[in-house]
This record gives sequence, structure tokens and C-alpha cells, in this order.
Amino acid sequence: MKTVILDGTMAGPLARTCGQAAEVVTAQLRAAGQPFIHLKLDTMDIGPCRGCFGCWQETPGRCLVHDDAERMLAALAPAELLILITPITWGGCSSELKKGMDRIIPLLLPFYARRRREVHLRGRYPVSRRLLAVGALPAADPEMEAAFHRLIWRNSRNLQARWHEAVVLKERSDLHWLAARLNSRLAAEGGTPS
Amino acid sequence: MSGRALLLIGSPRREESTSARLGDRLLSGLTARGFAGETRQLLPAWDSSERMAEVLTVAAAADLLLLSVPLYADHLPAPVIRFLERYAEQRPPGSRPQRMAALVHCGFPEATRNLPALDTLRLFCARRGIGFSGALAMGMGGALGGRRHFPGGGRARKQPLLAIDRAADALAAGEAIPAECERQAGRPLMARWLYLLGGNWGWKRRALRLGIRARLYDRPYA
Repeated sequence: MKTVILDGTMAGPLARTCGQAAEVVTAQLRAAGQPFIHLKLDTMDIGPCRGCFGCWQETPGRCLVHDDAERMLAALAPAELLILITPITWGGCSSELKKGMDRIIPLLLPFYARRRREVHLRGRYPVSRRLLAVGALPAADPEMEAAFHRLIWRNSRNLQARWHEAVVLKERSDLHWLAARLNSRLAAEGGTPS
Repeated sequence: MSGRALLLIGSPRREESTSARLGDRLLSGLTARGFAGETRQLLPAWDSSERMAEVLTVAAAADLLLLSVPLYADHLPAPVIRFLERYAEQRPPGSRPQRMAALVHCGFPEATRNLPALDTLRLFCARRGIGFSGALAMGMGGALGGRRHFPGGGRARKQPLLAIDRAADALAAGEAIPAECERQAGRPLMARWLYLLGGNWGWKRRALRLGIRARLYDRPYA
């Protein structure tokens, strides 16, 4: 299962937690023998989406802005498992993760299609995707957690994900829970559990 | 009631955007009722610390922050989130009272798709001591831009524009945007099938005009 980690860790009080989450995730993937690409977005030259729709109407499937987003798109196009890592910012994700998420429009077609009573954009690539999102909080915060879960559910609908899961890290012991959840998901997909 | 209103445009399309048009309408309503109004774009502040500092300074001096944004990948666009992150860092507890109201629109027919973005704006305001005065969440953004962008768009957007005018009335009076006004803005502009037909047809027509019809489904990373 081709896996891409979009790591939206940014400098700040939650950088350590996000870093530990990335270590846990990569260790689990290695143990399961899953190939993966780990993209640390804060080290990549990715500008914000310009909203020009050039990736639909000038160079279909390719962004007109030539920066590290091309590398990200090449990795994401065939990815079957997408793992997001982010500090939770008011129930959402960091600006670092969002700059990457905003640039995935070339992976979609401009055409609407109805699915599950909603309208979505059709995917450009025939890939069955899964979504695991890992969000970090400094402490338990039910409002932030609920908002983060809603956002990831919404992301999963638009990605047409076969399954999705949002794991919120509030304390160190939650890293064990993250490892267990990922391990369980990989085992269910046929990967070798560690 | 009067004061300083700052319109923050979160669309990367800047002055040409639907966000700018809708935001201008709201700001004009407020200036007509005695508010002093200013506008700033958030995209230029993304990679310029000077511009970000300038926007933060103007924002700190405003009594009412108006955010007009499109939905990108289910949420606020990255430059808007970066602005919120920076503004939160520089706004200490006990800062002068401020209010925020928002216009959020998406290209999907369902206005409810904007809810995760509204969650974040509400939580941001609650945690930074800013009064959240409500938001107008709109779907069918392709038609909101007007006739130039979507067949029939000119007439269809009458209801959301009326909702924006009513929102301006409420905000100018120091009140929150009424719930009825939020419902009015969220109503579909036209039948869903018509919007989908117009949207899909529009892209095909554009592709034909640009001579890329055969390449529309290209998979460059396959």
C-alpha cells in the first residue's frame, strides 16, 4: 500500500508531540514493511494555491506554480494511504499542512459528481484512498477535538476514502494508542502487524 | 454605533475574487452607516513578514474584523490560517474588545460544507477573547460571482446579497448577524441539477475554447 505522510509540524509548543507522532508512524510502517514517503512540509518550498485553476484549464493535472508541490503531487497521485500530522489549531490544521492540502487540486477533475447524497469533484486518478489524521493538542479539549473530527470526516468524504480515522494526541500515552490504531489498520489491509 | 471595520480578503484571487466582491458589499453597508472601512489582502502577507506585520497592526486597531474567504480543501485557505496563527500570538489576554464576522463560500451546492471553517473561526474568537458576531455560509460559489462567471449567476445571487445587506445592518447596530439572515444566505441559489449542469458545461466549454478538450483528463503523475 503506497503511503504518503504529509507532516504539518511547525515550530511551537506542539512540535515535540508532532515529531513523536511522526516517529511512531514511520516506525510502524517500517515494521509492517510498508513503503512510504515522509514529506515534512515546513522544509519544503510550497507556496499557497493561487486559485487560478490553471491545473484544470491550461495544463490539466499540473500546477502552473513550479515549486516543491510538484514533488508532493507526484507522491500523492498513486498514494493509497494518506497520513496527516498536525498541531490542532482551533479545531483545524496548521498553516503548514494546509499549504500542502490546498495544492492537491491538480489531483481532481473540474467536474462534479453526486456521491452519497452530496456533490463532490471527481478524482483524476483511479486510486482507492485511506486517510489517517493525527492531531496534537496541549491538553484535553472536547470542542477542539470534535471540530477536528468533523474536518477529517469531511476530508475523507472529498477524498472518497475507503476508511478514515482521526487520532488526537493529548498526552504521551496517546502515542501508544496511535501505534495500536495504525497497526490494526495495517493488519486489516494485509500488512504484517509488528 | 460606529468604529473601524477591517475587511480581510482570504482569497488568493484577491481583487478579482468572489470573496472581494461579497466582502466589499458588506463593508460598503457598514461605511454607509458610519464605520470607517479598510481592506487588506491576506495572500501577500504569506511570505512577507513586513506585510504580515502591517496587516496585524491594522487588525489590532480595528473594532470589527470582517473575513471574506472561499473554502479550500474543506477549510480556510492556508494564508487565512497563517494570519490567525500570527494574530493569536500577538493578541495578549485582556486586549481591547473586538468583534469578528465572516462570509464563507464554497463551490459545492451545499452551504453546510463550510461548517469546519466556521468551527475554526468560532473557536479562534472564543479562545482569543474576540466576540464572534456570526457568519454567512454560502454554497454554489460559482454562481455567486455573477453572470460573468456563471450563466444566470446575476439573478441567482439576489438572496445572498440581501442577506449581506441585512448582516451589515445588524453589525452596524452592534448586534450579531441574525440567524434568519444566516439561513437566507445558505439557501441554494438554484436547483442543484442546474448548478451541476452549468458548472460541468462551463469547464468543458472553456476547455474547448482553450484547445485542451482532449487533455482535460490527463494524468501527468501516472
